[in-house]
Amino acid sequence: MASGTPREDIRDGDILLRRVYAGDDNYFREDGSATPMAFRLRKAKGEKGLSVDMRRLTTLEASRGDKEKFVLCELTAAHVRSIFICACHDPDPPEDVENGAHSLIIPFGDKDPCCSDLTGEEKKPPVVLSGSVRDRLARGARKVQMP
Amino acid sequence: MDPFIKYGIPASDPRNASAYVSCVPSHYSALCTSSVLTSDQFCQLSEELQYHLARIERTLGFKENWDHQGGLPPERRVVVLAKKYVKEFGCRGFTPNHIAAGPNGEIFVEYKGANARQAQLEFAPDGANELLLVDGDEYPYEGPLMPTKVMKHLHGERYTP
Repeated sequence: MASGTPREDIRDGDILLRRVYAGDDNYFREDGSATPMAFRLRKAKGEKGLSVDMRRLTTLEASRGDKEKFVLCELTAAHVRSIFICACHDPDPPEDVENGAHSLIIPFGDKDPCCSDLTGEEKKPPVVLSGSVRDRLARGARKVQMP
Repeated sequence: MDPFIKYGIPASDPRNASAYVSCVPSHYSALCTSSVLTSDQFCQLSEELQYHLARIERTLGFKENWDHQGGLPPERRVVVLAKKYVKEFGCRGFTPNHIAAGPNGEIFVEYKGANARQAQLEFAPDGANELLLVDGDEYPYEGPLMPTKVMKHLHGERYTP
């Protein structure tokens, strides 16, 4: 599907926002820190990467959506790349067609060739979104405080 | 605030004290004539442990799309297995730090030990139950769930493949 938003390179300093369900302490510990479950791929949806929004292309409110249900976690692209995972702008995906900020945290082997991020290219075996990678992502994430 | 009050979970749950424990602490082993024992016969479940067991149990009430992002509810057999492990570890003195459901119907159980050690257990609907051992910023083991590795790690033993 053609995208209306031009694809951009994500810079190391870019902040990525991940929408996470806030209820029942499932994706957050009681101390407020995110658990690795907040960075689990959804097999039923066939996800290959974790959906996030690029902070500079959206607003916190738009990215969060329903404030009764969701909160945002933020992490930097530099952190994602430090664990050999790509950060790719993926604007207006079929499941979110008017989201020009949509991006993916995705292993090199699964990314769209249009994404210029080569992080993890040299890794043998390739880095995947394993438990330890999810844990590192969670450790680098911070809950965004919003009214 | 008392977590039972905070989350509206009953402070006692008889169902959570009567599931199978296939392996009990060694000082009770002389009493065992069967591998199927009720846990309350041989080890006292602390209130905190019962709270965590209730947190696992309550995921049976989750519906499809429980997290408003397509989350699948855990299947009963996953819940039963997670409770069994939590009880067995509980009888050995380990209480989880955190319990959660995952988006694919997983049950996530996290233990914290001394010196920044953690063990993260994932009980999955496809039976591919996973274990991640954490030691500070390092991950000495990542792979299939092996209970002895969990206990050795939380007891502070150095991991040996």
